[in-house]
Amino acid sequence: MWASLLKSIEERDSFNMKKKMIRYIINRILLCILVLLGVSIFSFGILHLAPGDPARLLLPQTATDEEINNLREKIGLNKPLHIQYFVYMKGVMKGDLGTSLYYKAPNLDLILDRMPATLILSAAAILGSCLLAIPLGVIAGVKQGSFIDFFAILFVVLGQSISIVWFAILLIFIFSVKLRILPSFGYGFRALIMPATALGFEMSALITRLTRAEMINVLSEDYILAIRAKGIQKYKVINRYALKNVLIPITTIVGLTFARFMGGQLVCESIFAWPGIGKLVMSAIYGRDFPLVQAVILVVASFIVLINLAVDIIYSFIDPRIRYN
Amino acid sequence: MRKSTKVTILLVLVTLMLVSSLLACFAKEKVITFARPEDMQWMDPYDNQNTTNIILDYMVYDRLIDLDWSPESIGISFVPALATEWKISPDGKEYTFKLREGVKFHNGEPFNAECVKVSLGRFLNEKTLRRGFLWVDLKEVEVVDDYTVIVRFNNPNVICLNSLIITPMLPAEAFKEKGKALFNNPIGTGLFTWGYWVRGQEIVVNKNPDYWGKPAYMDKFVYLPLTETSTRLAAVLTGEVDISDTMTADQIPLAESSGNIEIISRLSWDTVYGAFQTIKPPFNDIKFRQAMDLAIDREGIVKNVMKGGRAATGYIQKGIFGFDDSLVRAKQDIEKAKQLVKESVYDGRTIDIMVPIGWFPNEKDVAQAIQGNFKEVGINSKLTILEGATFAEKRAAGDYDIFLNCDGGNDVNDVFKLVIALDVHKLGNINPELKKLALEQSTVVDKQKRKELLRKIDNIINTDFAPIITICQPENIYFQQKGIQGAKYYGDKNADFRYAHYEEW
Repeated sequence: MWASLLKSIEERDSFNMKKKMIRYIINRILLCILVLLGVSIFSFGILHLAPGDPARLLLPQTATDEEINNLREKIGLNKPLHIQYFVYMKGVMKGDLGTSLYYKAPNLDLILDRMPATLILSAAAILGSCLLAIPLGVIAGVKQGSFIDFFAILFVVLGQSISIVWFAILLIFIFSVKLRILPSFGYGFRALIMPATALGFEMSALITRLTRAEMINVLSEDYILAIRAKGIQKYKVINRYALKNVLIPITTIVGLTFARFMGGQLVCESIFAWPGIGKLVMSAIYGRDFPLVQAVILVVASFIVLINLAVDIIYSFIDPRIRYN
Repeated sequence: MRKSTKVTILLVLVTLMLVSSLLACFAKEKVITFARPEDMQWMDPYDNQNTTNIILDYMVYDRLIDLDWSPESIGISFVPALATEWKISPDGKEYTFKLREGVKFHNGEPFNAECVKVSLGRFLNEKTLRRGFLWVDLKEVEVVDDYTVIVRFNNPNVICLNSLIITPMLPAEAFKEKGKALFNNPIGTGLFTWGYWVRGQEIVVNKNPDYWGKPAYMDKFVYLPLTETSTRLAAVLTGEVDISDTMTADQIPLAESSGNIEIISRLSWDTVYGAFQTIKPPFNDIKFRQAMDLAIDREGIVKNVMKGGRAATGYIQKGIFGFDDSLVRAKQDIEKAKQLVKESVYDGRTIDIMVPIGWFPNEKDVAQAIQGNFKEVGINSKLTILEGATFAEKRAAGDYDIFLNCDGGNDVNDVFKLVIALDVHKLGNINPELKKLALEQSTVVDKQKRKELLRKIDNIINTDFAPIITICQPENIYFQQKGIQGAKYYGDKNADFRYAHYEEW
């Protein structure tokens, strides 16, 4: 009897947990939709309220008021703002993100053309940064005061103070102009090396600093001392026990940075002529290409929101405390 | 056949194949690569406002007439292209063209008068084409026969030929069938056929083996949009790019030191000027305006800020129709300017100089130099440096004291008619005689009479110091690999690379 009672309690608890999990996911999805709606209203409002008339910029400087007004009429800019917004959102619901005023091509096509390049550059920069910075930070943290620690600190200072523009141009000057071993611009594996290095440099410095600081903290924790006292070898203590805790804040930083990179990296993309989102959206902003800017903001925001949602869901599986909050 | 004979024949065939493959490897494709800052808009040649588009239009399309200009010319001339001859009616309202026979588009469609009618007819049917401002006065296009067409205007038209050099001819049947979808794979009669466009990366056009005229030297032309000047410089230094435009004077020493780059400079057809509203004090006082004019050190700006170009004497620049080389401009005279400021209605208020970012070279430095010149003579000023869209908005609203700008083109008709006569920039209170002359010049077809009118207008602007004060004629700088010939560069930044080639080709 007691066994069947216990079993039914366990089944009820398991069912309740599943219900809570589903409710949590649904809440998060609804929140994501709300966030995207807010982003669309905010971006629409900012673009239309900022000074600058796209019709005026699309025509020559000497265009008359009549010509400008005709073009505004044609591209729908004379309609009331709320009508323009609803027309835009109606299209978005059907998967149509509008047409670029400058390129006269579907915005979704323009964005999808560029998105892979931004993804590749972001991923390469982050991967390269982590591969360099994490081991460097770990060793620097473990061997405080050593030559490697000194080198790591110098690397951190340089990485966080050097201008990315200057660094990018320096890379081009050395590796393209002088040594002729890498192309100065373009799209491809060899062309990726310099922009990824320039973009990842500052991030490497940040990760090195964080890893080193975290490693120093963790190594001074009591549980680490206890494990060491049991006679376990130092490298095992670091790899098996300390590193996991060190990586938690690093993972958060990497996630946030990846999300930021996905908005495009204008400086790197411009200097290296890397065909990513950043360059596209910056020229769209200068040209007041409202539909394209709105579309990019919505796509990038959706991407970031989806990543955050995925991470939150994964966390909720890993840490039960989260799903109950 | 004996076995040994068969083997011999097989060996000979294999050897021939290997040799021809080797030869093919050595017969390198002839490619010219060109880089400039902006990407193409889209390939409708009538619906964009973009120098990159015009340059690529030249490659893929032909026009009724072509431009003929060299740095020594005063004004542009026209040479036959798809039109073999033309005549203009005495009243300037009718242009009759005799068309070239035997020309085919890339899809095999023949070029004829119907193509001209359909092409120019777009400006009558579609009112918001971005190059429509060139054809706003078009009335009709009449097909007389297969190879004769008359273009009629509502009023005498002085810029029809100027407009035709950037108005390519489209295939009538293909356009009627596909409409604007035609421009996804453009079809022209030009030296090059459309290859492909990877947005943000490259545009490729290929040699047309069936071209009606002199064949091209190169097999392929590649256009690369490289936004940053430093990137274009590096690309030219490494040889990744053959020609680059929109370079700057401070890059010349590095380019020259490489030993393999030729520097090409062309005086721009544009004028850097300051414009103001003469309805507002102190700009309504000629003494103040003259003081501003005498304060500006044009030679210093050209030498030390622009590091190239020419100090403006009038609005019409050297190389443009109507240029008057006898026009003399008073040099900077600080003492006289100071005196005039004291005598004028100027009350010491801070004048706002509005500057657009990126609209002309070294815009901020030029503005600072002018601000410094003004300070020397007692005129207080501040700079408002604005991004293009905001600048255009404020100018359109008349919300400025002075704005700096750079404008012009291969004929001053647009600026004189629209900026002065019709006052699109809200300058206000423009001299009525000046307005009348500015409008009149757009209707005078007789070249000599028009030249006299243009010079009169320039003279009034110079002596009235209103509504604009001209500053300088900038310079366009190109870097090209040594050994390249046949590339033509024009003062409005357009370029013709159809016959560009390396010496050895």
